[in-house]
Amino acid sequence: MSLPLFPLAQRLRIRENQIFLGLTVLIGVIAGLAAVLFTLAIESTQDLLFGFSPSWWRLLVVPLAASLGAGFLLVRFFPEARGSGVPQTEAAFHLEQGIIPARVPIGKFLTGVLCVGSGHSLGREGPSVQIGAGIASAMGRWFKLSPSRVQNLVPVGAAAALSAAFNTPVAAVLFALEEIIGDMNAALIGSTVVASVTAVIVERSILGHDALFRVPAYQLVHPVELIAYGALGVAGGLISLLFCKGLLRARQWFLHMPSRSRLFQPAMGGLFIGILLLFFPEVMGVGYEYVDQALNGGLVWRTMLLLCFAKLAATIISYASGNAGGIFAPSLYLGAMLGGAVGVLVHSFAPFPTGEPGAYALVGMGALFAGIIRAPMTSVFMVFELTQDYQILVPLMVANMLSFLISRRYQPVPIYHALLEQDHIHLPPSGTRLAGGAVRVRQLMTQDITFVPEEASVESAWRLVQAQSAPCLLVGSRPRLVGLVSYPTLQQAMESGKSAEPVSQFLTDGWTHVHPDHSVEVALDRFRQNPGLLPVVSRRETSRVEGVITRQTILNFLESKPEM
Amino acid sequence: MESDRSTQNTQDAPRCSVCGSPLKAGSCPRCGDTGGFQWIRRETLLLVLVAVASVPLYLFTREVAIRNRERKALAATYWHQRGQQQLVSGDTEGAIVSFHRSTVNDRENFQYGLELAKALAAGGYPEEARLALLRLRDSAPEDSEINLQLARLVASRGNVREAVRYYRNALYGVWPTETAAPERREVRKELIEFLLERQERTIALSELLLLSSELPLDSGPHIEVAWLFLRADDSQQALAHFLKALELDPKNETALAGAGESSFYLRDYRNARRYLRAALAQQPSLENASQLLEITDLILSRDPLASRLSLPERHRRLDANFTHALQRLESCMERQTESTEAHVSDLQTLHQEARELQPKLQLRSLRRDPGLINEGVDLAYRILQATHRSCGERSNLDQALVRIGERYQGGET
Repeated sequence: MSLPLFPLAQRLRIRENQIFLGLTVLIGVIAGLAAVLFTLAIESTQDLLFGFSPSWWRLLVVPLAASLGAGFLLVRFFPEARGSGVPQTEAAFHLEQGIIPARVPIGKFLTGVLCVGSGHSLGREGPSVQIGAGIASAMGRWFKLSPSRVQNLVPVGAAAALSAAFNTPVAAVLFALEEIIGDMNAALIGSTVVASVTAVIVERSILGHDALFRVPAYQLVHPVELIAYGALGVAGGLISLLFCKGLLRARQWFLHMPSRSRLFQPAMGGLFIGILLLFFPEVMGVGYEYVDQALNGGLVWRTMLLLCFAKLAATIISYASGNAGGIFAPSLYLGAMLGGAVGVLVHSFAPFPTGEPGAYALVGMGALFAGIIRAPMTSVFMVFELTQDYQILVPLMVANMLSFLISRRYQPVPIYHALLEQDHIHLPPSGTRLAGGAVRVRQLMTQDITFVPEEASVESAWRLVQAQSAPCLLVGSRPRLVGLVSYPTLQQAMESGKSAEPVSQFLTDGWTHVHPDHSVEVALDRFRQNPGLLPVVSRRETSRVEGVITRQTILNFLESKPEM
Repeated sequence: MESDRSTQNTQDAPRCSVCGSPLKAGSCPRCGDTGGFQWIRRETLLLVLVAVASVPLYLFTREVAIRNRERKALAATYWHQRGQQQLVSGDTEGAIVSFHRSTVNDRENFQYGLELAKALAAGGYPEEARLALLRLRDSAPEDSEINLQLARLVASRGNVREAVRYYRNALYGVWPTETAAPERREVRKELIEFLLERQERTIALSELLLLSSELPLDSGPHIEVAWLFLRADDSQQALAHFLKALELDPKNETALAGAGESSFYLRDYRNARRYLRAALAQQPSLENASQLLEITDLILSRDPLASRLSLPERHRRLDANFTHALQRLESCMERQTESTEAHVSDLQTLHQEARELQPKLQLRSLRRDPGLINEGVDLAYRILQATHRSCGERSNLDQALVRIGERYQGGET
């Protein structure tokens, strides 16, 4: 009404693009401040709880007591704040349209400070990523941006927070693209760069321009030295594998414990850490001070090797028991200790001239990061950004690639995705999203599903399967799929006189599923592995059935889409 | 464009002028635009508000950072002091841990880093200490203390070239002005001692000459330098500095003993005896001087080629010396099982030679052929050298006779 009368006012109205740009800068500032504050809060809490020279009982009691408090907060108020924060951010970006509830960054801040500050061997980058992404998501919704814009702000906030937490703006952008978005060609590169640079400016204006680590001047003394770096890459791959397998197994063990123990699981981890701290106080918290020492040759090689394994055990237990904190920093710690120890040994015993052990520690950091986090580009650029030295690239790439390949060969699912899978969340891998045509499973599936309750008898299931002439039945309910039971299995059970037994005892092994966003090609491929029925489950909760694919649905689809 | 969107079709329900969504009760349910006069939109206002709100957050974070830094500095001081106490009480491992923690809390503090490196070196971790020092050196290549520590580390591993480089870097590095000269002198002395231990006499002598050129007018430094010259086999320079020290402090027993020793090595046995006697008069407990004096006295009293001696006296001295050498040889040959075959063969040859020469060393023969005295002195010398190689220990008389033999090896008469 009034607008035509006031064209100037109309021109002054900013559009969503401009708001997005302004918001990107502001998110850089606020996420950067949040990340710096998070870092400082962890350090202050650690000082407060342990003092300069903690007594043995303090080392033992503080992690236990703090984890009890953290456990209460995590179970009652902030269940999304457990663990790293990176997988949750990825899930929010891919599955929740970037919506992260405002309580998540608050909860992550509090529990992260409590857990890492009380000595748990966890990192601050993962939580910072979730805090930054949460702030960005909340601000996007507060500014009432369109859902796609809100989704786009998640990696922007993550990059900004990581940039401020780790002081490497380029690596932070790459991490957001490579890990969070899963696409190095994403159109969001401009926004993430703006936010990342803004955040690092804020961080440096507060904490100073000193690099996170004092990095030794690197020099490849002799080409044969590449063999030593290759050996470091292999060792890094094996340690990465040990870490990933150990973490997943320990976490599975904790997840299988009765649900009422959830409240106390972080405290169980706290007790373990307390005992470990009595012998290895150096594994406490983030541990970057000791990474710096390893880089600058202040640690004895035996100590570094011991710390590598102590940190490995500490991080596995801290994380698996459900405390809040990441594995980004521990992976660098492990790499620095391993690399430092290898470096000293190579330097002392190699029959050829070698560089300083600090260079090996640096390459070790990249190798373990590539092996554990599985972001090889980020790992290369991160170390490059730390050193600002082109000479390190060749040995770094040799070690990183070897570590990455070994880790991928024996642990095909990346750790963040594997952790989500343990929580029954399946992220769409970039390969799946890009593969196949435009037709997706959701267009193919039917929602006309018959379930057999898991307590139903074999006889009732047999009658149902006969009545429907179905090759297979889903056991459970729509929100909770228990498994599949096939026609031949039921027939065999009936013939062997087990008609009264519950159907849940005759579930088919090795069945597979698809998600609604999978391509038809993937669905057809997986259909062959199942006994005539392919469940379509939610990515957010893999026990939730969203539909099924049967022979009939495929035929129907082909008839309706002859061009396929 | 946006106003076009709201007015393009008057038949449609009214739409938001900003985002195009259908309006409800005059306002947009999506973006909250009321459609009224508002030249600053809600989002603009929010952007400004958030930007303003971030200022106190920034200031707060900065304050926390400053407090954090102060606390870390305190922690670093605490650990540094604790490390020093542990070092004093001999707990090097504990000190290493403490110094680690001090550097962890304040990694920019140069002194903490240096203490850590020293503790690592003292704790038997030379490689780690070297690396820690190299890191420190990166930031302060001219620092004399770091270069000195590096030199000591490298020296302990026997790398002469590197050690000399670091010692020289330390010498020409930056020292506190008030203590620069004595500190440099001490470092140069340390370098010289290292070089002498490693048998690098030539470099040691060049450093000694530099050191001697910057000595203060005090007997102590001159005496120290003189002893170093003596170790470097430059008895002439050593004597000069001992004499300079005696000029400054005529009754200094160390200088007297040193002058005596220097004169002894310069084969000026009369002056050696004079200085050594004077030194022992000042300080009778000087064991080395006492032994040297005894040898000097023996040299002076048993030299058959000394000037102004009668022939019978020469004969008497030669006979006594030769008899002693022969006895020594025979006693050594009795223990020949302990020696190597080559040594045994040498001793037997010498014994044969001595048995052949002994009858010729009569007074009459000496009158006829004074060259026999030289032959006798030379054989005694060779016998005592060989017995020393085969049987070890050497008495003062042995040493005196060797000195006499050496004196005439070059044809001196």
